[in-house]
Amino acid sequence: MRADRFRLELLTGSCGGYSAMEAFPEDYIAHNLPLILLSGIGHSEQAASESTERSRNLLQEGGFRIRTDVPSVTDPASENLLKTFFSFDSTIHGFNSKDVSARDSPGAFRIKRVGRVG
Amino acid sequence: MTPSSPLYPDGIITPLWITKHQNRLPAVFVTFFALTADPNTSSLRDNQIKTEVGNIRGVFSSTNYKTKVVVILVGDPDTDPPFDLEERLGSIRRATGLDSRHLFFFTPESSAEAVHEFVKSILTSLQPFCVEYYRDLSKHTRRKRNRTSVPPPTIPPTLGTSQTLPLQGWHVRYEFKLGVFAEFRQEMDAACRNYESAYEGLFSHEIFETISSWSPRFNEARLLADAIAIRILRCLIWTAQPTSAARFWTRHRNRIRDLVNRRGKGSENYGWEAWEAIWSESFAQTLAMTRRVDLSTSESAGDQQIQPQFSLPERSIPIGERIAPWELLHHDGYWWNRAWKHVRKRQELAHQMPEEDRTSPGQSPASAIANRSDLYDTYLALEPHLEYPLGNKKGYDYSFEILNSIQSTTRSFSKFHQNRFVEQLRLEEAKEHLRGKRWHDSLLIVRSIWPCLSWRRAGWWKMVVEAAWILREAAKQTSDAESLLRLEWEAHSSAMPISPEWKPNLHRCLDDIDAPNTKPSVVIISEDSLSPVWATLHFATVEGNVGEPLRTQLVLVSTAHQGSEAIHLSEVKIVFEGGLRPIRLLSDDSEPSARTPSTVVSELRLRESSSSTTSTVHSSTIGLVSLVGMADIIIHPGKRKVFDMICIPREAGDVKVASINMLCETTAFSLTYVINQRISSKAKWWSIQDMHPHSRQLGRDSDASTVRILPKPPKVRIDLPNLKQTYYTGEKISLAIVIRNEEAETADVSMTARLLSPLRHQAVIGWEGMSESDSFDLESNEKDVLSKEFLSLPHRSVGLIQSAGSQSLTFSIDRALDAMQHELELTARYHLLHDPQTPLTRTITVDLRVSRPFEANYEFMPRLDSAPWPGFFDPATTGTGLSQRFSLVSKVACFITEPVIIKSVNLRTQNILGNAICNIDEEKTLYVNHSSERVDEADGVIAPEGLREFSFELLIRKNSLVDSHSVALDLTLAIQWRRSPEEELVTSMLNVPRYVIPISEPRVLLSKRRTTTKDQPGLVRLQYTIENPSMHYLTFNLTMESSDEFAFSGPKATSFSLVPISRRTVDYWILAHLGAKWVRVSLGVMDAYFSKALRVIPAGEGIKSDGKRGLLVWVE
Repeated sequence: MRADRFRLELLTGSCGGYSAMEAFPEDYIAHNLPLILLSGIGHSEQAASESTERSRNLLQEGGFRIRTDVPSVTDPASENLLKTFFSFDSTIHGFNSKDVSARDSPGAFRIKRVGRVG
Repeated sequence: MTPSSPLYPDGIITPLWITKHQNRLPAVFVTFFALTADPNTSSLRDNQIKTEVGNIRGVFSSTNYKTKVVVILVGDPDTDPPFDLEERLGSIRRATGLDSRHLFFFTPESSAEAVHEFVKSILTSLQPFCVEYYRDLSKHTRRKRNRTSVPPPTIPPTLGTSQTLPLQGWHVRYEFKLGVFAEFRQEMDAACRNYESAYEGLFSHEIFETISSWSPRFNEARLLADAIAIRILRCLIWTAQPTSAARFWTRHRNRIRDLVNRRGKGSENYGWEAWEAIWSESFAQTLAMTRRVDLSTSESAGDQQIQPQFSLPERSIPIGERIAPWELLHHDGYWWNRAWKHVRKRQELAHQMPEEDRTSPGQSPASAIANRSDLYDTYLALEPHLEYPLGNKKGYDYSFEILNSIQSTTRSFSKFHQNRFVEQLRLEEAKEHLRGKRWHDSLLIVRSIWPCLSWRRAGWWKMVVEAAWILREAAKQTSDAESLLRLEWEAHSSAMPISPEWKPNLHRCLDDIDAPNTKPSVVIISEDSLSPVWATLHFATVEGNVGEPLRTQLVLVSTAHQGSEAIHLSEVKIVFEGGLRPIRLLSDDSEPSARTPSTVVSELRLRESSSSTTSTVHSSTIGLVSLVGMADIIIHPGKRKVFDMICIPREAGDVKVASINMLCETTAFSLTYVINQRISSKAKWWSIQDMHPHSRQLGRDSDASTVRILPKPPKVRIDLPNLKQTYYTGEKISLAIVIRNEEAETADVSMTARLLSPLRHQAVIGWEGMSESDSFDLESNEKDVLSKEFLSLPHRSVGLIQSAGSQSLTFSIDRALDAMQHELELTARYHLLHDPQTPLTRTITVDLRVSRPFEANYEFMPRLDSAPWPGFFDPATTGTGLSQRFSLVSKVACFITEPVIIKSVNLRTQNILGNAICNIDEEKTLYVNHSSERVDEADGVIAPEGLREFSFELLIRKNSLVDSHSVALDLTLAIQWRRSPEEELVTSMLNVPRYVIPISEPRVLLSKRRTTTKDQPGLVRLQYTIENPSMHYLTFNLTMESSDEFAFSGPKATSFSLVPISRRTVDYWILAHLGAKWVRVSLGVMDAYFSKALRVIPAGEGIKSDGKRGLLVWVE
């Protein structure tokens, strides 16, 4: 897995975002935050697509799906609402005890958006 | 466990499990629906929402996860919320069975703040649910952990080929899961405990030790171990246990090394170093992410305050426990710094691989590959053929990795202002570029740090040389002539400990590189670089004069390495601040010869150059014609060249050396070394003594590279031929002033004088022989800046004085009646006849001491006044008052330093108070105490420190008989004297202290009555006179004390009364035995009316008081 990363960097010549932590599977070592999924809001193409096909398959095996036919709310006001939700996402922030205990913060969360077909 | 799981059957855990919880399975599922405002479709749409929500809740409740479903209904934009909103919301809630806390309505028109508050309130309300959700999961896992048996495998294992996970493995799995759930809840203490338990379990004998190293499970277990370790480190830092974290980091490293050494492929391969680098970097990144948890306690203090570079140990560590330095947790830069070093080691080890191991698997026999996999650890590292492939194929990019890590290190260390370390890292970066033959990158880095290298200021020359070496390599490769010249110049200096293979030669250093298009020109400032030649310029004297030759000395001394090549200077230019012209020393192109003595002192004649200088170094000297001299300025190592030069200043003022520029101008390059700084060490002056150079210290408080140029000195002199050491009060002081013109021409002179005195006084100053109007008497004394009183005289023209001629005038001081030390300042202002524009001034200051010539003490004694008293009833005496007679004896001491003649001494009444008159008899006696000076007595000459006694009789008489006020008497002693019979008489006045005479007090006077019979020795007739000048009728009791020294005749005790203004005498005969002596006679007199003892006052010759009871009477 390290070799993959490295080849990619050689090709693109990028050195930004370089991290030794990438040597490890990200989820294995990342700090865990309560997961809140948002569904039925925003344009579907914006939905983040990550995790490899393999892990998706593995996880879907024995997992469950939620299907909803009602279209997502996508008007500007709800886009704004979605953005506000994301502003409370602590995933990319540095984490420390001070942030979590800050009085103004409702707590640390991982906030993700999923499409209607979650 | 499903057989399709990657763990099946004996894996411990997979990262996918965490992915599931972190990215897939929510604690809270928030779903959004539009709430339509259209009343026609609202019921339909609402029903749709009810169905969907029901579906979603159904899905979640069908699983075992207790995910909360939250519904947010978004209102229609552009319309008001429907009037029946509450009703519809209630309907949806009832239909879906949602808790009211889980159904929200969002008004689209909300402001940004309102939206923020809306979301915040939702999240705040969800937070406890989240904690509860993960706590439930924890409970579930804990139940599973507490099982004591291994769950049976889903499919029975095939014998021999697969094994199941032992019980300890299950424990590790559950402990790890518990830790992760605790972390989800942000309960890092609890998480840490679970992780530690999982970690210990993982390393237990049953797990790690049983996995064979060829199995993929081995690396999986290592990955898990690393992941748990990172999580433990994060928990420790989070819970502010920096030292525990640092210790754990080391422990994990040692444990893994031990493991791979025993069971894996050892720690002597590139794979191990790769892991070391990753392990260091991971910690650095973990630290960076959790930074300032406790590394810096004051985040708000700003950048000015230097943050602590490491954390102190946490409180839980007992005081006194030994803590190794590396156990105090450093900032992330420290770990980054470890990382790149391991990458470098990885490179070294990889490059040691034999070629057969580096072939790609397709080209090698299978046995070789099997062999290879035993040797090389590929956990988190590349396989040998990818790590360092054969041929020109690109393998692992070590350089890229190293540079990245170094840059991260640099960033961290700069954040903590550890500049010296940052410089070292920059050099490492440059070195890495050199290795990769990226010369320009390397050159850029070294050139950026080279000019401000802190090691140079600190004097860490070995490190400076290391940097210089890198710069030299890079500069050579890139043909950077400028850098090479700078380096070579500095390398010549013996202070640089350069390696023996570097043989500096400034004049040939550009030979090896491509000739640049333009001639390189370098200016080096002395602050930035060492130099093989040092130049100093000193002035021989502290002061010089305009127009007079000023001796200066330039010393060029070599500080180069012994045996290095000579420096061929082409020019030395000295620029001054102030009115001195620049000096240029040009090389006379003489043949260089190294066999000269170590110090050469030579005189150098300077001439004016034909062209003006084009100096831009110091603006004030632009346009000044410089002085030029030709000299041999080739400096061999260890040699010193001294040049004596003479320049003539044209302007007054302070002059100092602004800079000394040493130029090396050749066909290939031009180099200028500018010396701005001065060396504070003792300046030396070189001279030739006995054919050998000799130096002496220029004992100077001020910097010897500065000189004060004074204006042309005045050559008119002022003499005071008859100035005496001391003058005396009352004396008229006449000072002869002789002004001599020693200029070469006639001068027009005027004089002025000032008398400065410490106190106010009455003296008057003037020029003698001038009319009264010219003589100047300042009525009010002025005060000058030193708060001294001063009198000044206006200019008095003296007129023209021929060259070598002189003119006299006399200055006088009158009425100098106060003893003090004056200061007389005489100033001659003049100009030469041919040059009236240039005023010249000569000032002299002399001390004039005015002292007291005499000091005296005084004795004031009552005497019996034999004249009859006036009486009330006596018409002849009406209008006269009572009188008293006194004797004043004055002892005069002379303080004049030469014998003087006293002509007369008079006692004068200065003032008399109390309505009385005072008659003073002429001075009666005049005698000298010192017998040796009796000779001069007739002339009245008194020697220095001589003593004379003068006695005067005074009669004080009241003007009225009834006036009973006391009389106060102020007297002055006037002494008329002269220094010699020819000189004027001086009258010095001495003030006698004031005497107060109580005229109406009763008193008792004792005097001897003159007796005609002298036949009886030891017989004295004493007369006691008791006076009652008061207006009272007084009674006195007299008692004569008997004594064994004498017999007496007279009343032993008596009593009588005195009417006002009357007196009475009582006589006693005293017969003393044992011959002539002082006899104590004690008569007690008591005023019976006032009941007060009266003191008997001696009032005649041969009677005195010694302060005790009674009086002493001289008996012959």
